[in-house]
Amino acid sequence: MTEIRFERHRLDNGLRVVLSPDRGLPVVAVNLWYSVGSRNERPGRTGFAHLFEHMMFQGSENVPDNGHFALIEKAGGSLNGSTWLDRTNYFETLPAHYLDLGLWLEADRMGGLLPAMTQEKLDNQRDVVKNERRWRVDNQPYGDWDERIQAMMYPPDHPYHHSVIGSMADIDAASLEDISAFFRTYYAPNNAVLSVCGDFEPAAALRTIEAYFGGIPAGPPVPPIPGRTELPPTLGREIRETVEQDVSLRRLYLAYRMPRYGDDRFYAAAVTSFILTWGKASLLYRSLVRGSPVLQDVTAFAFPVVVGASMLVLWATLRPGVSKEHAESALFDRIAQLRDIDDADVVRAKNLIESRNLAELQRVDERADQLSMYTTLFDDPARINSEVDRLRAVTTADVRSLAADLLGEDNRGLLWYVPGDGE
Amino acid sequence: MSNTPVAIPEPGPPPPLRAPVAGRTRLDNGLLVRTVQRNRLPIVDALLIMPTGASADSPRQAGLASITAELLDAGTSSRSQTDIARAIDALGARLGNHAHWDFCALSFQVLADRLPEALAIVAEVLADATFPLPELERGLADRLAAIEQDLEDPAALAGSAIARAIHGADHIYGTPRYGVRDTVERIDHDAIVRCHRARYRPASATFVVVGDVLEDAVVRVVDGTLGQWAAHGEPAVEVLPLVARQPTSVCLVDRPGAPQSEVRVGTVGAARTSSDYFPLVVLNTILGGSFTSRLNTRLRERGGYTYGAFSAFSFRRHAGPFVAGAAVSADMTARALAETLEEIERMRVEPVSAEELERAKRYLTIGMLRGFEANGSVAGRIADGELHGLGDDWWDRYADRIGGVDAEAVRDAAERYLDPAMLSVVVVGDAGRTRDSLESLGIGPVVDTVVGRRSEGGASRGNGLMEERDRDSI
Repeated sequence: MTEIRFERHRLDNGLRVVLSPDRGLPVVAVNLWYSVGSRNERPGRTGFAHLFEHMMFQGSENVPDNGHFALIEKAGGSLNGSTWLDRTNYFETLPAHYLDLGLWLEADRMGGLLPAMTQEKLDNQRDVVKNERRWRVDNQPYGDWDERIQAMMYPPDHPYHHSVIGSMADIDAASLEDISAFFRTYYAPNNAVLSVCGDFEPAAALRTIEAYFGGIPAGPPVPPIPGRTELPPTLGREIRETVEQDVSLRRLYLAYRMPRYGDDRFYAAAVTSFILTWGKASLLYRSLVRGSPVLQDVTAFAFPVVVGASMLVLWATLRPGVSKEHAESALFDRIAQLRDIDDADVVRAKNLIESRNLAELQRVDERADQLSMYTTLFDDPARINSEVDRLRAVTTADVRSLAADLLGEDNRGLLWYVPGDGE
Repeated sequence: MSNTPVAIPEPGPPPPLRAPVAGRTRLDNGLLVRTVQRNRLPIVDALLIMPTGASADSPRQAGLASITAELLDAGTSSRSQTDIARAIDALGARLGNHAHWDFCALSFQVLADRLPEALAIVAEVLADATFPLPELERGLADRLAAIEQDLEDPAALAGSAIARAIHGADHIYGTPRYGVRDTVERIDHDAIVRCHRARYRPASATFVVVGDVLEDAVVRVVDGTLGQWAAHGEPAVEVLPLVARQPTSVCLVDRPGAPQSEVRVGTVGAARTSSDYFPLVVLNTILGGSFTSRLNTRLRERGGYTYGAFSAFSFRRHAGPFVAGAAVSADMTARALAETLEEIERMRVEPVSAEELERAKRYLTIGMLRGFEANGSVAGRIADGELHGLGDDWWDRYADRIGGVDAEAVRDAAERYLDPAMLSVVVVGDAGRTRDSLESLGIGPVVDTVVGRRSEGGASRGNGLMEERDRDSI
């Protein structure tokens, strides 16, 4: 119904470029995905991809120490970066007439990060990242759930076994030599996608991109993702863990192994997550939050990750006084109902996903990020328009068979948080 | 190393900055309809605001506006909550109902051609919400549990504690908008029905529609739906006491074993319509309102004590709080607090540099453009303008008014608002590890403070905060 237009280019050094003009407002989004994330970390260096991302904001060959933030903020722009399992992205949204500044800053650090790296900067950002870990994980109720779920659902030799934030000891161990090696291995134009979206003229932008990025040499071939990257389709058993914490309400994190993002059945998993918990008419909300007083809240979503397998993760906070056993049996009963779910529930979920996807495309930064994502993961930016067809194609029978095949006892992990006073 | 040019590129000419123009129609029942046509995507965002929000709650019944808003779609005389949710979902719409300090709001996003159907549901909910007892009891129980959970979240604890320290127990701003245990326990069906009648009224409400629609068509369909909405009874009245700033003291909330401390420094700020608004916005951008701000640069990029330090003025109909803060590693608690206070003091005693001032002003004046991107954000700006009587030219004049703020205006505002002898300080962290170093800063008494838990006797050492705890804990 709404088609996002774009053009693709590839520079001689391998940099893939996606340009998507949209003259709605005089703003422009610059977005770079590097095909490297926590999955690429070697043993003893968990958290390194994320620490490295921080170092990308500490200046480069021609950009002073705090220059990246200062130049963008002075241009009235916003910027950030983020690290996840499969990728690291960097992005800025700028007034349209500052497009060249954004491109130049990205090119300068892609081509010349290392001359600006110092031990002092590394030590400072190491402290910042350790405080990020304390803030997100260690000083937060239920804060280490994703670390524990990943460790539970992926075997120790799988690249998703460890969390993005990594361990304090590994963050401590990172050195300047690690920075150099990581940069040379992964931060090359042939391992990146650059997307630009917003109010700009594509031919002029392409000339600027050629001028700024074209001289950056291609890197060596990127090494394969370490560890075991193929997994059986199911866990083959149930895994359980219980954590005592200073929390007043019990909470369950329930994970199922799912096909990887991009597989047809992943879309059935995404639709299933919406059937289960999105909105007040969702299956679990209407039955266990509103209907019988079992859950305080419930949320589910499918992890869009591509190596070996993904997960459908659901978390549910129990109402005071509800036992673990009662909550589990109520939840499993409802999840079993998916095996003969009605068309109405499936249609409702698909409608919700579709309208949510459309709303996300209002912002140029989101468009640029999606174009980078689809190009990085599937070499197919056109998925920004066609992904919705994959969701629409999910049938009631698909959801039923997914529930029968993959939402059973032999394919789930349960992580319980319970109050620390021993119950 | 590469062939990237050495020089920073110069920008081209700036694009013209014009805020979207919104049509204005008043319906017979008093409802003001404002419409902006934008055709990028086939969707519309709608926002209805009623200008009496959580500020009109009695401090004894804090949380009333927010629970009423949350339960608005819990049922009508002809539909259950699930029926309403199904009808909304079938349109692919998303409905939001919330109470803010200054207003209650109902918002939705929907495909443009489904707007009439969405409006019919919204009109029914507004006029005919029945707040069915089972949903209400569940809503209150959920709220009480959520309040308990917030007591385990250090940032939420710090937010409650600094609001209470700044505004006190008798001012509604001194209690979380969603209430505390004692105040929520005083809320019943009768209170909610009265709140709904007194605050959800067409004559003072504004309905903003932004998206792929024609103004005439919008007005027609709104007139047939929300135009039929009528008020009953008397409107709510908001009476807020004035608050005096308090001499500096440190409230220490113990979280044994916490690896970080949540540190907050605050005082009474300014109202949205204050004549100091623009100097304060610039001041805050330089102090803690941007990544390159003084607080973030010093505590994060120099000290490494934190993932991020910030400051913010909460501009409301009445003077809301100013709060600066950060989550800092436990062993750096006193040092991070001292540096925060130093940076606040420096705003008063020395003029900001020309470079900082320029960066902050450009960050604000060019950056405001991005707020016109999403329909919902445009609707929010129009509603904000109506709420505070800012005038339709507010955003067109914004750059000039920010541009007119000079270093002396910033220093003068800092001097009047950020008196170091009158700052409230909250530290949520391991008291055993931090108390001595906090005391040795010598900035004021360090008071052990308990937030929210029912008193168990014995633990009490302290001031008004502690004494208040028993009857109205935070």
